[in-house]
Amino acid sequence: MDTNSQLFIFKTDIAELCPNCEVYKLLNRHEGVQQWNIDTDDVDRVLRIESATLSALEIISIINSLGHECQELN
Amino acid sequence: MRIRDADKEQLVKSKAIKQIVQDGFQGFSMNKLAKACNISVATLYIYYKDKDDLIKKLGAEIGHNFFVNTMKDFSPEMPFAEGLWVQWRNRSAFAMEFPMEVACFEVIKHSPHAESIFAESTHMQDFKESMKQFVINARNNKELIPLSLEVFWSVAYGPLYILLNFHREGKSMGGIPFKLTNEIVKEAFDAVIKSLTP
Repeated sequence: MDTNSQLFIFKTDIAELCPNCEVYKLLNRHEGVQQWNIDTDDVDRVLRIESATLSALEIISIINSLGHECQELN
Repeated sequence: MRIRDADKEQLVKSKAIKQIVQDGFQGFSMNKLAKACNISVATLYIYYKDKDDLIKKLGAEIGHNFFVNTMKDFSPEMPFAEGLWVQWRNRSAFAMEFPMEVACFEVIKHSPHAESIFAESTHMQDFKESMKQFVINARNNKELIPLSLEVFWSVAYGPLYILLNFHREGKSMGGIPFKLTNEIVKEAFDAVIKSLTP
């Protein structure tokens, strides 16, 4: 992991993920996102994001804007 | 910034091994694991990307320990009986010391994760190469009768693993109480050597 980047962990309702999904496309091309993945098998559909520039709130609003719930896990 | 904690990581690994052995992959989940470790799901996701990532890392670590331990004091140049005895000793010592890890590794080995774990392990490749060379040397030195690979493996190691299974279950056929001793291992080993040597 990049020393400047932070790891954020969220609970979401993203049950399915495919290369054509909006979430997939957006997170892949977002400059602020270094790495990301979603554990769609887990009940919490955990989204993990590594970013040096984004805040948790910004990530939540990005995911919300795509029609999904997103809540930071602590 | 989230920080990793070595003790917590160790706890996560041992609980994960226990859950995989008891419930298999289907019954095993990140949420259940977090609860068993008394940590938040988020903490678990600091260590691992997802369930598959955890299983792969766990398998790679157990595999690494197994291969390193199995190769202790062993060389493919050893006389056949001596080398096979070192293998028996190392393998049984590992199984006795880490029964949960061995049981977990068995589950992982028979899963779709095995291929990628083994492909990435150089220890596994070295181990396979050494074991192959050991058998080739034994054949060249006329210390081993010609056998197909699977039959050789079954005869050379099968008895040991069956005895270790009895030991783990604490009983043998028909529920007879059983505890593996050095004498029993030696008795089985002598029978194996007798059947494998010309």
